[in-house]
Amino acid sequence: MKVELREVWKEYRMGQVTVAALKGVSITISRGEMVAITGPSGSGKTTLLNMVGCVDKPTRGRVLIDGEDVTPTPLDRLAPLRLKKFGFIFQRFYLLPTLSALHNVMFPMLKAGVKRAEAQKRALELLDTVGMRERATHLPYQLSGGEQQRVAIARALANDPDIILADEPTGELDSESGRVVVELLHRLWKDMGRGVVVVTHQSEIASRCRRKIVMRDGRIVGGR
Amino acid sequence: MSLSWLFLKGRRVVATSVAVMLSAVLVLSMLSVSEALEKSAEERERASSEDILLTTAYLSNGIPGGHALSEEISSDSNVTVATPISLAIASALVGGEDLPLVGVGVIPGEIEKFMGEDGVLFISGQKMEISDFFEEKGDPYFAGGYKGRWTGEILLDEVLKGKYGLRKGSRIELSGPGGRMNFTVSGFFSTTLTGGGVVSYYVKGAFMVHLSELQALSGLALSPDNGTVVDRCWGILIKVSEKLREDNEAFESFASSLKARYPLYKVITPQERFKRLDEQYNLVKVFSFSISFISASVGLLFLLAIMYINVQQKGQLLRVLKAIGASNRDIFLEVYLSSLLILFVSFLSAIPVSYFVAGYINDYFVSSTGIDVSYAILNTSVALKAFLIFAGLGAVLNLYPTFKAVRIKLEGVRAPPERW
Repeated sequence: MKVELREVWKEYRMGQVTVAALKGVSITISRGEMVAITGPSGSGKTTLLNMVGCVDKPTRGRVLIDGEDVTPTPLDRLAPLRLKKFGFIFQRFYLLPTLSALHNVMFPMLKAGVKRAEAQKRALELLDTVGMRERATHLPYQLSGGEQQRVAIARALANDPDIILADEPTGELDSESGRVVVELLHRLWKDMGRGVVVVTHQSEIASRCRRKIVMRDGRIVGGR
Repeated sequence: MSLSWLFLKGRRVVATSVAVMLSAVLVLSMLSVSEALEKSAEERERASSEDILLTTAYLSNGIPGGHALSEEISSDSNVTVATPISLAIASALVGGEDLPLVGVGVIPGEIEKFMGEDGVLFISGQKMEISDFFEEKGDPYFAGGYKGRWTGEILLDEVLKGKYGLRKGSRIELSGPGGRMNFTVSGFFSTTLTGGGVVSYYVKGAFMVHLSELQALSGLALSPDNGTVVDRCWGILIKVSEKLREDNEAFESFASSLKARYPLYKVITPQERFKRLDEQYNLVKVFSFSISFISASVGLLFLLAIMYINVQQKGQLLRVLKAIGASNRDIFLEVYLSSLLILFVSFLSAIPVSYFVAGYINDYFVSSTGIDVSYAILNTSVALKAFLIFAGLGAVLNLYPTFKAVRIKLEGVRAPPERW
């Protein structure tokens, strides 16, 4: 799978002022790559990740998934694409508080039409992969931050996506939990062959990625 | 589990459910009492052996020569019995209180023929349950131009027995436009005559005496100008023969002939009473439906407000749902079904509570108005009606927070704009 951004601009209106978060960014990300996007706050890292994951639309420019231009497609119509091709990991985990760890992982699979028994089996395997099988029946509030993020990683893998998009995945974690999460992401890339795109401020995470993209003022100023 | 039921947790949901449940209880109870009123009135009409009432306006005592007129009507072969009755307001001095009472004057031997075996009598749709009766069945005081024997027999409303400790054999003095007269309590009866409407605000109970004695008490016996006998009464109750009652066409024709014969009076048939009853109960229905609708609206607006706040507060989780692949349809179902589930569960919990509350409102209604409602009905039809009001309103109102949720922009999922 390949995601291409061609001359992508993203502008926001803030009252009377129009602010450009991305200024003509072009980039290609494929399955099998581990990419770090770094840069100071306000440089456009998260906006870039949004474009790659089809959760935002560019003001100008084009987004192509496997060569197909998805720019004109409404975001809601891209829901199946996000469901099957991408896995999302958020800084604040965002597990669904009403569901157990197991059900959080099963949720995207059931949305994708996987049968319940099969979804449960696979969810348990994924929780095992991230070392959370023993905590499968726990609700999010019963888990630590690190544990919640591991469950979130399992959820991101639920539909066997090509690319995992992680937005500052260790931002809310202590250093030990952060290290475990980074290790897991590294394994996803190295052992499982996924594409992993990580937005991070932390140089030690960026240093574990083969490819680094440095952003400043909405432009890519380093790496490609 | 294809829904995460994000909105079904926490104390707020419990509080919302309780609020919705309370409004459902009120809806169910009001509809139950309304149904009970309607059913009781219908049963009352069905149980009535009163066929035709010849009358003027309510309490106007406008028919002169009541005794003679009823004899004239009784002579018709289609009539089993016709009897004059009188209604009047009189005062009784009981326990140091001056009580305004509504009195019914009857000829006991004739009115008895309108009573069921259980001692139930209906006069113009008003029920009277008579446990004791008069010793003298005729109307002796009427003899010789209101100079006959004064029986002084009186039957009193059960309400007076309870409140003022009156019993059989008690003496009671009544005063009216005809003067002050003494009576001896012969027994008691319960009645709907003083219940509801304007009457209940003015009178504290009812009594029943011989017709001529009530006429004397209320000044309807003799003309105030020259003292001649006028024998004014309020109406003539007519019971027709079984044969006529079973033949609708003949019955209608008989009623028409009465109307033609007595054009100055109203001839009220059971059909007309039913029609009047229908009009009255349509009013009750509109009232109870309005209360139900307002109550349901308040409860459901509360649900709407809470769901709206929930959607605002859980906006980020809704965005996450969208980001991990949930479509707008999924979000719609997530929010809409959650609110409908709260509504449904609250409604179901309201049913057993309503059973008791309806009974309580029913008792309160009976004791405060005196209207005879023997039971509040919480049946499937009432529950279904209430549910339709609830589900209909809920289905419409909850579209608002649902569409708010659907329209939440996915773009904000990763970070607020200041974090790009």
